[in-house]
Amino acid sequence: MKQIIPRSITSVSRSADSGIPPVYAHLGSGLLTALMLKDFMKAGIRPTILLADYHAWINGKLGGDLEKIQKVAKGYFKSAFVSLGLDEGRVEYVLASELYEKLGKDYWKNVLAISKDTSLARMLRCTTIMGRTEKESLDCASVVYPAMQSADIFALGADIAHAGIDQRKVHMLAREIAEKLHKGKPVALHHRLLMGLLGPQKMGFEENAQDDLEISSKMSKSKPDSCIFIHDSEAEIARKMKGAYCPEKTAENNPVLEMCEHFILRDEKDALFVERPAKFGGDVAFASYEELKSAYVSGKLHPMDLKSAAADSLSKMLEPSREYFEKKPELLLGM
Amino acid sequence: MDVETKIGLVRRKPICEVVTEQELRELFETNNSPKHYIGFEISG
Repeated sequence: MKQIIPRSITSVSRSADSGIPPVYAHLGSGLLTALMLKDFMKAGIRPTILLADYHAWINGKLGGDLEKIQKVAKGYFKSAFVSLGLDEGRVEYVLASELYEKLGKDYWKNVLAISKDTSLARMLRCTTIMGRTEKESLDCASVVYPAMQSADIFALGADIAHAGIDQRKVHMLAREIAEKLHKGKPVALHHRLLMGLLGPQKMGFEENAQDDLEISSKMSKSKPDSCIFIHDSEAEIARKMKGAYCPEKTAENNPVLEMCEHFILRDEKDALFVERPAKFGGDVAFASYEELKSAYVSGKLHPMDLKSAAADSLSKMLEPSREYFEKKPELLLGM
Repeated sequence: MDVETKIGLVRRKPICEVVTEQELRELFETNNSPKHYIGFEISG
């Protein structure tokens, strides 16, 4: 397989254990967002991507270095979405701190109004949106985070607030607050979280077992081998997929099948091609997820063949991003 | 494009919840280009 990303860059993405976790866009945050937003645009919706720099600062991302967070937000992070076809002009990109600077008092007054109308207990329950368990010790700014996220919706004038299902609590809060403050009540749109390659995990984010499973298992960049980054080389994608959790004949909680459903076989025109030696059944193509799932569950398709075919398809889907970052390696190296 | 087709595009997997679908329908009926937002912490 052709190594597209220069070795120097690949080694950067591997040095994730240098202390500060990488903030690379992965399949869930990157590719899935692009696929959903492209559908929304077909429906006439105008998408906005808020680059939440203050939020990342509060949450201690990138070592809590605000300056670095802002550089990465405007550089690599925005470029990651652009590389996936979400061009500026079609999608509006807003850096949170610039929005707050522009709105000044009006923004922070809303943050206070929301905080005044919400009990501390409820705000604390909302802090799970930060990807932390409620039991963890939180600093004071963490309680401001959900109020800011609600105020963001009003500040942007968004008709539709979209996020992963792990953000549900804050969207419900924002909808209630909107009525009290006589602001436009946003339609809340939630997507399921993509499971990490390592399979189901239980970390105690939620009391409800199924919710906890989904949030804990989401593709998290804090575990580098649990996710595929959008700029990963073909070899890297193949290596990660090979190590993925993929129980034989089982569709439930199977991250490889989940990828086939949401990425590879998303559209009717899509197909998954499996190349196999004749003694293992020969080449086969699946035109729909249902077809693939039924072959897999009945044992007609081996996990290794599924993984290898899925890796090839994902590599092709991510080719534009690889090429984009190959031309602009400074965006990756500057992380 | 009619409203039901638009709702169908929005509701595609992995979207698992619309709060509420009736409000989304009303939004499409009154606004041809509603504004959407999704936020990303600069992190995983």
